[in-house]
Amino acid sequence: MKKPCYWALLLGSLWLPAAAAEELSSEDCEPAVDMIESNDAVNRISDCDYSKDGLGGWLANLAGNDSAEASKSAPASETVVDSKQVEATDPATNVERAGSVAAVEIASGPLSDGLALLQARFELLKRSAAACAPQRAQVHSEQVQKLEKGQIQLLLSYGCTSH
Amino acid sequence: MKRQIISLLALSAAFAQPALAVTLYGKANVSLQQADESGDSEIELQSNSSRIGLMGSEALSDTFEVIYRFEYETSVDDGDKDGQTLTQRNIYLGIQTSYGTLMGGVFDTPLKTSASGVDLFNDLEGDIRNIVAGEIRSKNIVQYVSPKSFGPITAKVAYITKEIDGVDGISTSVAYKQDALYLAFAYDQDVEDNAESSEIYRLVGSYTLGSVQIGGAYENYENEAGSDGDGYFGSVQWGITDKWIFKTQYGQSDIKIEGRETFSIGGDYKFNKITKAFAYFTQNEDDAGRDDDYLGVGMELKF
Repeated sequence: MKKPCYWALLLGSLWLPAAAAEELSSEDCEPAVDMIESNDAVNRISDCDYSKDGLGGWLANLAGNDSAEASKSAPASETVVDSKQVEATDPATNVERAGSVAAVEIASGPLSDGLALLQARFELLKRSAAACAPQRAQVHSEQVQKLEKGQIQLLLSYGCTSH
Repeated sequence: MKRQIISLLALSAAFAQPALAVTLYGKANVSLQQADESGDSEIELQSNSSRIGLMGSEALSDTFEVIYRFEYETSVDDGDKDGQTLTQRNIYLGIQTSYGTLMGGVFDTPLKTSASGVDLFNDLEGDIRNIVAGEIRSKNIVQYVSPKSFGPITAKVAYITKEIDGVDGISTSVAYKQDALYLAFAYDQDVEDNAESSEIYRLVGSYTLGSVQIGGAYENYENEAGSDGDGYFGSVQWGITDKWIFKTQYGQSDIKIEGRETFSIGGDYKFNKITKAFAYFTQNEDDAGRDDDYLGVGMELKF
C-alpha cells in the first residue's frame, strides 16, 4: 500500500465518528452564552432549543405561551376562578338550598401580584353576587393560601341572604 | 402602567414566535478584587465582560438559513462602558448552507476564537490577552466557516477590510475537535491596527482526561518594524467534584513586552448549571518593571 492510502485511512478514522454523531439533546446543552463563544458556534446555533431557558424562556412565559403562567398577568379571565368551585355556586342547586346560613367556598387560581389579587377578588365577589341574585351575597370569610413560587390563592366563603 | 404591560407583552410575544427562533442570552460576571498595581493597593468591583445578546437562525428553505447575533457588553459594576451603557461586542449576519457559512459584521477573528476553550481565566486579570497578540475583535470582517458536514474539523477564513488602501488583513484557522481532544492552528496577517506586515502563528491544544483538562498554546509574532517574539501558556482544570473546580494557568511571552509572565490560580463553586461563585489570585509581571497582584472573589450568572 502506498503512503497516500495510509493518510486517507487516518483522516477517515478521525472523520467518520463525528460525522455520525447525533445532535445534542437539550439536557446536554451548555448555556447559550458558552455555546456561542465556542470556536464552531455558527455550526451549533440550531443544535439546542433554548426557548424555555433563561431570560428567553421567561419572556416566552410572560407572553402567555404557558396558560398557567398566563393567569398571573390576566387574573380577570375565566382561569382565575377555579371552575369546579364556580359550578358549586350555581343558584339553581347549592345556593338556594343553602339559604342564608350555608356557606359556599370559591377560590381563585394562583396569583402572583397585587393587581392580580384585586382583579381576582372582584371576580369572586361578582360571581357570588350573581349566584345569590336576587338576594345578596354575604361574605363569611376570606382566606389566603400560600402556593409555590411566591404565589397565593384567594378563597372566599359566602352565603345568600335577603337582609 | 397598562400600556407598559401591553408593550412588554407585545415585545415578549415577538420573542416567543417559534418561527423567529430568537435566543436571548447573556451573563453577569462581577468580582470584588484587591488590586496591587505598581505598589498601589486598592479594592475594585469589576464587571468581567458581562453581556446580553440575541442570536438565532431563520430557515429560508430546506438548505438555506440566515444566522444572526447581536451582542452587547454592559458594565455591572458602574454602568459605564467607555461612556456608554451598552457597547457592541460580536455582531453579525450570515448565510448558512450545506457548503458552509458566509457572514459579515464585527466579531472575534478565527485566531482569537481558536483559543476560546483553553484560556481558563478569560475576561479576568489573568486573560491571555495580557501576554499574546491577536486577541482581536475585528470590524468590517467577512468570514467563511466550513460546514457541519466536515465533522470534527472547523476551518475558517476571514477577510478584514480596514477600508484603507493596501492594509487589509486575513485571519484563518483550522481546528479539530473530537471527544476529549482539541487541536487548532491559526494564522493572522495584517489584522492588527497600527502594525505593518504583521504575522501571527498560533498553535492550540487541549485534552480532557476524566475530570482533568490540560490545555496550552504557542504563538509567534513578527512585524515589518522588526518587532518579534514568541510566547506560550499552559492551563490545568480539575473537577474535584460536580460542584468544585480547581484551575491554574501560567504563561510567558516576549511578544508585547520582554519577559512578561502571568500566573493565575483559582477555583469555582457551581451552584447549578448557570450560577457559580469563584475566587482567584493572579500575578502579572515583566522585565519593564510591572509587578501586579490581584486577589478576588466573584459570582457569575448565565442566562
